[in-house]
Amino acid sequence: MRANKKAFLTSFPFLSDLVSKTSSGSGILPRPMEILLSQKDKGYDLLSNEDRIQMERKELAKRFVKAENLYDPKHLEDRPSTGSKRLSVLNQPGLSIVTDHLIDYPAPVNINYFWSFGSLAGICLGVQIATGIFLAMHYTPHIDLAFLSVEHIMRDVEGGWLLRYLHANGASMFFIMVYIHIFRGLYYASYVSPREAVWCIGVVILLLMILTAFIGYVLPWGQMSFWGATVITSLASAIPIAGDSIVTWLWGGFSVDNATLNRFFSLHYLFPFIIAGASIVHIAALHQYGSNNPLGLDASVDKMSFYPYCFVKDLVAWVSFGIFFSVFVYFAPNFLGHPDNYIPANPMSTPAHIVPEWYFLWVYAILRSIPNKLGGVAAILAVFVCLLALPWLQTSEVRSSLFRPIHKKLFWLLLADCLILGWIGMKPVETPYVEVGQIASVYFFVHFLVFTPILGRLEAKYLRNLGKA
Amino acid sequence: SRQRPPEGEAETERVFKARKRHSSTMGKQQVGMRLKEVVYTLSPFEQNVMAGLFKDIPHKVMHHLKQNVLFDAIPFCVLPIAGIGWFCSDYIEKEKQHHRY
Repeated sequence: MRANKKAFLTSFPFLSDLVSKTSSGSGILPRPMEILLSQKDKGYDLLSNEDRIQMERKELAKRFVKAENLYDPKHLEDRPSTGSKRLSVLNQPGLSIVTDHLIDYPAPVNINYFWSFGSLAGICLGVQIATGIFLAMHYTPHIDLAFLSVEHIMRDVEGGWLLRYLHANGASMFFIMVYIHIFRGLYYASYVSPREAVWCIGVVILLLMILTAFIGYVLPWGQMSFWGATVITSLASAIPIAGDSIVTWLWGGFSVDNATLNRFFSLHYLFPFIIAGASIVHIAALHQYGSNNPLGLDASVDKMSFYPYCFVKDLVAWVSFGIFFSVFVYFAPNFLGHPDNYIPANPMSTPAHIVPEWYFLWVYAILRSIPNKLGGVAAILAVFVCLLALPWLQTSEVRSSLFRPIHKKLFWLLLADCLILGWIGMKPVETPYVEVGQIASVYFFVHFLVFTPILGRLEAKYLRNLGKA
Repeated sequence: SRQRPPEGEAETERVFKARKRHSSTMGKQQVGMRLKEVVYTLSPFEQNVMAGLFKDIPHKVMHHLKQNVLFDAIPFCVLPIAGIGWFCSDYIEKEKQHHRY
């Protein structure tokens, strides 16, 4: 009835424009939903609701029947990048990258909320760059003025306290998101072929983040800033022959001083943009073959467009993250920090316990577990070599831990090991913390270098026996 | 004026759209392997938002706990951390007692 009425109305030229403008469907759907679905482009706007439902049911049924002919090239058609003509501007050469990678990107239908942590990390990077640029307008990179300029930001600059706390806690949030993102990759084996490049670029991003965060922590010029910089930069002296020269070159002098602070400020401004570039390459490498999914199977047969489905899912994650972030910024802004960093740096007074920020503690524990300085530096390098080599250490034919019961248990052991290393990193260097730290460090390497290669074969044998039983 | 979409096979061919993976070509022609997938656009008439989310919640929660928490997370993550924490604090306490008198 309604369709007939509309057909009658559209037969009058002036009325057809009115009808098409007032509703591009039958007037049942709210306008935003209609725009989303491009009913007009499909030519369904003349149908009644019942007809439309029938039409779409038929389409779905036919698609299901056609699934067996999936590899028949006859059934593949090129379609415009976006269905709606309203978004045709995005089909222009320069902007088509937005269409291909943010709107029409085919995402697996079964990805869970652990797949949102990548975009959350991107949000954190954005927050750090934005707050950092505004902080840099008021900060002074001189040893006599740095600490005072930070206090000036906190007390005198309008909203300066918020900028500072957003930036300081934003760094912690960035690392939380990235660590969860990494452990998601470990659990679902997202690093396995063909996504080795994605994983390796991710490890490079982690390294850049660690460097940036370490350099940034020096800038407030508190006690922990100064002494943390002294301890970590001195590690370079362990390099044979050229070690001392390298350290002097790094410092710009014979100790951590004004020259060091100036160059650290410059590098801290530069590195986030390198991280941003690396993140773009990371996403490009991912989109080469598409996202992994919790089952670890080929998801080509069932995908959905990124927009609106994954966008809305990510929006939920972003809002939840915003709440979590706000709790720290507004209610516990110094919870993750160290109170000694509110004491101005004093080269003549060494703190009792020099500890880095929490996100470095696991690496710090591995470094300290080896009594030899060069050994400790080599151990840190070995950590990143293990991470980079992981895609080639994996021997299992099954990807996801959902179908690998032994790997699942070892994953939880690895997580426990990293948490224990983090806890040991903040403890003093005495028994029993030293021994526990050493065992935990050894297990870290054993997990990647021994268990991961052996597990593939072991699990295949175990599952075959389970099948027989 | 708009017409009804054609019926039958022509309609099926028109509505069955599988997208070539633009992202995999990145502006260049892909040589050899061609990946194919089917992309669905769901009609709002065919879906309830978060349908079945709160149905049978106790069973879902128990299933999730059994699958991930009970035999994996607790014995292989929580217990080792708690055990090592207890061991270290116990060791430190005993050392303090030993040095006290």
